[in-house]
Amino acid sequence: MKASIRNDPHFRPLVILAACIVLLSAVDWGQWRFLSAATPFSTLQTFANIGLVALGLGLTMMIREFDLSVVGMFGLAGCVAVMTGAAHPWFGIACAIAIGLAAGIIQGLIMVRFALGSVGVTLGGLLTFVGLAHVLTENRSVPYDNFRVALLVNEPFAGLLSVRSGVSLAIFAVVALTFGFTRLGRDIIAIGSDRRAAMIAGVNVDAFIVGIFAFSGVCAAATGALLSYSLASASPAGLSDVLVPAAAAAILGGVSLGGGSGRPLGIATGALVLAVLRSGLNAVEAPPFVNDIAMGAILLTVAIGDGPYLMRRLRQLAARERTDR
Amino acid sequence: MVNTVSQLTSGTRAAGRQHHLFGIVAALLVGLAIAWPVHAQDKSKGKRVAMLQTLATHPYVATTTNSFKARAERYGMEVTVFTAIFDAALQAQQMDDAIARKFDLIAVMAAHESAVVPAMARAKAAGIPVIMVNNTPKAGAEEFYVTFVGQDQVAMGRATGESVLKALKASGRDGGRVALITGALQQGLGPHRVAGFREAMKANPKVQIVAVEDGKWQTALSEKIAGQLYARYAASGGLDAVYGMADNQAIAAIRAAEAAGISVGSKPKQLIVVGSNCLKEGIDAIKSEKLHSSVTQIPTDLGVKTADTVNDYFNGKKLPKQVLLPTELITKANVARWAQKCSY
Repeated sequence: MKASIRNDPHFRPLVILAACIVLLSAVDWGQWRFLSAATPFSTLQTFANIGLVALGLGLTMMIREFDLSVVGMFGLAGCVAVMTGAAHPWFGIACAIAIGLAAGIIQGLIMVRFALGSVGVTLGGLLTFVGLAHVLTENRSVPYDNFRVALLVNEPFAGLLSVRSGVSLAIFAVVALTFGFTRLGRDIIAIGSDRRAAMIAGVNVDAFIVGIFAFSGVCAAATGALLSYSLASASPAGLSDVLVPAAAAAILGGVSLGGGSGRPLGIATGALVLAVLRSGLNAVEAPPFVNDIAMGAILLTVAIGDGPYLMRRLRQLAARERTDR
Repeated sequence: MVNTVSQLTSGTRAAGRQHHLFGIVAALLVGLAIAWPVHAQDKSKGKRVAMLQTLATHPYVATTTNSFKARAERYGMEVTVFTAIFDAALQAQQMDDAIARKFDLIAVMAAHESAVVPAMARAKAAGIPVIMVNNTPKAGAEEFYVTFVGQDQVAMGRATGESVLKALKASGRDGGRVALITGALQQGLGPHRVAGFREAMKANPKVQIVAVEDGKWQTALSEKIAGQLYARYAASGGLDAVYGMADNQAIAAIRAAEAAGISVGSKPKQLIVVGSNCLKEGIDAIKSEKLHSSVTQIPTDLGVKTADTVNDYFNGKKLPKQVLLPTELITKANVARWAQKCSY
C-alpha cells in the first residue's frame, strides 16, 4: 500500500503541495505573513496566471507533443483583447479566443497533414505570434482604457476568488470531469503511450492532435486576454513569464514529457504548488531567486523520482548492500 | 510688624516662586520649540514601507534600493523589499500582497507603467499611499500616487540631443546623420528620452535622425544593431553621431565602430558617440575621449531622495507631484566631478 502511494503519480503532487505548505508555515511560524487570510487569494491569483496555460500545454505533453507557441499566443491574445475590447470587453475576449482557436487548429493541421513534429511547428508559431503582436501594436505597449473592467476582473469575491481565478478553476473542473468520465481521457493517454496502437484501436489520433492544440491555443489566449484586462495594458513582449512555470506545473502534476501519463487535476495541483511557492516565498520576504531555486529543486527531485533506470539501479545497489551484510 | 515682614517675606517668596514658575514655563517652551522638529521627524519611526523594485541584480536598481533602505532605516522605518524581475503581473501581485498586509506606504519602481495602475488604484482605495520611484508613471494616473521621485526623462533626452548638436558644430559639421540605439521602446523611459532628443534636434533641421532602433538596454543587442547601422550607411557616407541610450549601449556602439574600422571621437570626420545614465564604463570612455558625453542618473542620490520624500510624507509635509533630481551633462570638462558617484 505504502509503495503504491509513493509511486502513484496522481498522489505525488498532493504530497509536494502539502510539503510546501508545511515548510513555508514553519519558516513563517509566529509571524503570520504566509499564514494570513490574504495568502489563499494571492495564491489563486498566481494560479490564474499559469493554470490554464499549464493545462493546455500539459494535454499536448500527454499526447507526447509540446506546444511552444503558448508564449506567443499569450502575448498576442492580450494585445488583441485590449485593442478590440475597450468598449465591449466580451468582444475583445471573443476575438482573442478565436485567434487562439484558429492558431491551434492551423498548427495542428500542419503537424497532421505534413507529419511534422510539434516542437518545430510551434516554434514557428511562437515566432509568428510574437512578430504579429509587434506589428499590431507598432512595438508599443497598449493601454486598456476600460478601467472598470480592469478592476472588476481582479475584484475578490468570497474573499478567495476573483473572476480570473474563478474562470480558471471552472475550466479545470469541466476538463477534469470530461477527462475522468468520458472516453476522451483514456484515448489521450492511449495516444501518448503508443500512438500506433491507439490508431489500431480506432482512436482518431489526427483529430485529437488538432483538437488538443486548438484547446491549448484557447487556454493561452484566454489567460493572456484576462491578464491584460486585469493589468489594464498589453505588451507585445508579454506581461509575464509563462512557459517555464506552465511546463513545470505540468511536470509537477504528474505529466511526463514522454507522454501517456497525467491528468487535469494533477496539473491543477502542480500549478497550485508553484502558486503557493511564489506567494509564500513572497510573503516570507525571501529573495526572488529563492523561488527559482526552490522550483528547480522540486523539479529535479521529481525528475529523479521519475527516472526508471536510476530508481532500478538504486534499488539494486540497496539490495546488494543488504546481501553483503 | 512680624505680619508685615511675614507678608512682605511671603510676598517676596510668592514673587520668587512666580519668577521660578515663569522660568520653568519659558524653559519648557524653549525646550518644546527645539524638540518639536525632532518630534516631527519621529513620525516615520516604526512605519512599515514596502519597496517594490524591478530587478535586484541590476547594479542601478540594487544601488538605489540599498541607498533607500539605509536612509529609511535611519529614519526608523522598517523597509521590506520585493523584486518583480521585470514581470508586470508579479509586481501587480506583490502590490496587492502589500495592500493586504497593510503596509504604511508603498514605494514602487514600476516594471510597466500601465500595468501597475490598477494595483495603485486598489492601494488608494485601501488608503495606502504610493510613491513612484525612477520609472515615469503613466500620464493620467496622477490621482493614484502621492508623488514621483526621479528624473525628467524628456530633459535627459533633450540634454543629450543638445550635446550632439554642439559636438557636430564644434567638429565643423553644419548638419549630420544621427542614429539612436535605445532602451526598450514599448513603454517606460525609452520613448520619453527619444521625444526629448527629437525636441532638441528641431534647433538644427540639417541634423537628421535616420534610425531609431530598439536595443532594449542590452549591450550585446546594441552592438549588433550598431554594426548593422554602420554597414547600412557606409555606402552613403556613414553616420555622424550615435546615441546609445545607456552608457553600456554607447560603449557597445563604440566597440562595433572600432570593429568596422570607423574612427570614434569628437574631431572632424570622426563618429560622435553619446550616452546616458553615467555608468563607470561611460566615465572611463569619456576620459579616453571615445564617448563625447553622458547624463547624470545617480542611484545613491535617488535612493536617498526617495527616503527623504517618504519621511516628509509621514511628517505631513506637502509634497509636489514630482520630486525631480537634477539632470547634468557629463563631458571631459567635468568628468572628474562625477567619476565617483557614477562608479557603483
